[in-house]
Amino acid sequence: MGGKEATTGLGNTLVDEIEARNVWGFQISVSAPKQNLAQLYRFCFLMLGDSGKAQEVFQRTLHEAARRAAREGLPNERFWLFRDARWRCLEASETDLQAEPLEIEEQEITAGTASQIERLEPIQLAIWISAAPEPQRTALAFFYLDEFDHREIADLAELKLSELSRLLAVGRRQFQAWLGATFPERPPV
Amino acid sequence: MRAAVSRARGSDEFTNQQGFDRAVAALVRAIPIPAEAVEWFSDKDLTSPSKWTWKKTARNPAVLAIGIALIVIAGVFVFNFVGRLNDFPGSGTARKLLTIAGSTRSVLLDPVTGDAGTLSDLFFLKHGLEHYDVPAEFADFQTIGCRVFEDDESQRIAQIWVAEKRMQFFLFPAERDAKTGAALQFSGWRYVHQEGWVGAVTERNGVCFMAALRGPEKDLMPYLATAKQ
Repeated sequence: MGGKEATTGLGNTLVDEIEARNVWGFQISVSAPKQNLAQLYRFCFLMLGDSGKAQEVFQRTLHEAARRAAREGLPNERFWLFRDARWRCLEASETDLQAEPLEIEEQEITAGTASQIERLEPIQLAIWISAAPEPQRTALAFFYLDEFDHREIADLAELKLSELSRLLAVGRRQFQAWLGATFPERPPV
Repeated sequence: MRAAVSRARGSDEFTNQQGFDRAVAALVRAIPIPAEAVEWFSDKDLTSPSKWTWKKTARNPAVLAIGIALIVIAGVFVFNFVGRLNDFPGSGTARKLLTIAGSTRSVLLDPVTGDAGTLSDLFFLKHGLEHYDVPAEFADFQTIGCRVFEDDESQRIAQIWVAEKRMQFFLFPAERDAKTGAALQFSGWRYVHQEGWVGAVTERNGVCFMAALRGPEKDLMPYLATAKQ
C-alpha cells in the first residue's frame, strides 16, 4: 500500500472542492474530482457488495450533498461525504438478511496469495467485505480503498488505532482462509 | 521500535502481507463504475449555480466586515470634514483655551472688580498688550478677576473672569500667515466647542476675543444677538 501516504489528501480534495463553492457565499461551479467520487462509489460497493445498492447510496449521498450545499452550506468536516455514505450503507444493510455470527477460519498469508487475488472478480471481494461484521467491514473497505491513512480510517470507522490494526490483521487472515478454500493454490509445475 | 519495524520489513510475513494488500487494492481499483455514477464525474456540478443576489452578498461575513469598515472610515472622514467646516483662523488656540477655562479656578486670577471693558488699559499699561480690547457686547460685564499668561506656543493670553453666568473671556493673538506674517482675519462671531464648553470668537486688529461658558451654544447666542441689535 505504497500509495497511502500520497493519497491521504485525495479524500480532503473532494470535500474541499465542494466546500470551495461556498467560500464567499457565491455558488461557484467546480466539478468534483473524478478520482474521489469514483472512490466514494467503490466504497459504497465494497460496503454493500451490490452494484445497484451501491449506486443508490452513492446517488443519495451526492443528492444530499447538493441539497445541503444549496441550502445551509456543506458541513465544515473532513471526509463528511464518506462518513455520510458510510451511515447510509449501514442503514441500507440493516434491512438485508444478516449473516449468522460464525467463527471464521483464519490462515497465514502465503507468497502465492497475490496471484490468487488476481483471479478474483471485484464483486467477489466486495461480497466478502460486505459480509464482514461491523466495524471490520468499514475498516476493510476504507483500508483497501487506498485513499486514507490509518488515522483517518480510525476516525471514519470510529475505532482506536490498535483496534483498527487488529481488525485488519484478522481480516487478512480470514480472507486468506477463504481464498485458500475457494481458489486452492495451483501446484508448482 | 525502528529495529522492530526494520526486522518486520525484512521478514517474509511482511512481504507477503504487502503483496496481499497491493493485490487487494488493485482489485478495488478495478471495480467498474456504472454509467449512472460516471454522470456525476462529468462537467455537471453537484449544485446548480444559484443566482447572485444583493441579499446573499450582503449576508456574506466578509462583505459585511468590509462594509462596516468602509462605513466607519466614511464616518471618520465626514466627522473630520464637518469639523473642518466650522474651522476659522485661531480655532485651534480657541479650543485649547476652552480646555484651560474648564480647569481654571478663580484663585488663580488676580481679583479685579470693574467693567470688563476697562481692562484694555490695564493690559496695555501693565503688560504692554495692544488692542486687547473687550468687544462692546461684553464690555459692561462685571469682572471677578483676570490674569495674563503664556500658552505652550509662548503667545500671551489675557483671561478675564466675569460674574455673568461665570463666563470667561480670553484675548489672544490672531493666527498669522506663515509667509507674510499678516493676521488672518475673519468677520463676525464663530463658535467653538470643547469638553462641554462653548466659545464665541471674533477678531479685531489682529487680536481674537473669545467669550466662553459651560453649556450649549444657545446660552451664548442672546449676548451676541443683543450686540447685533
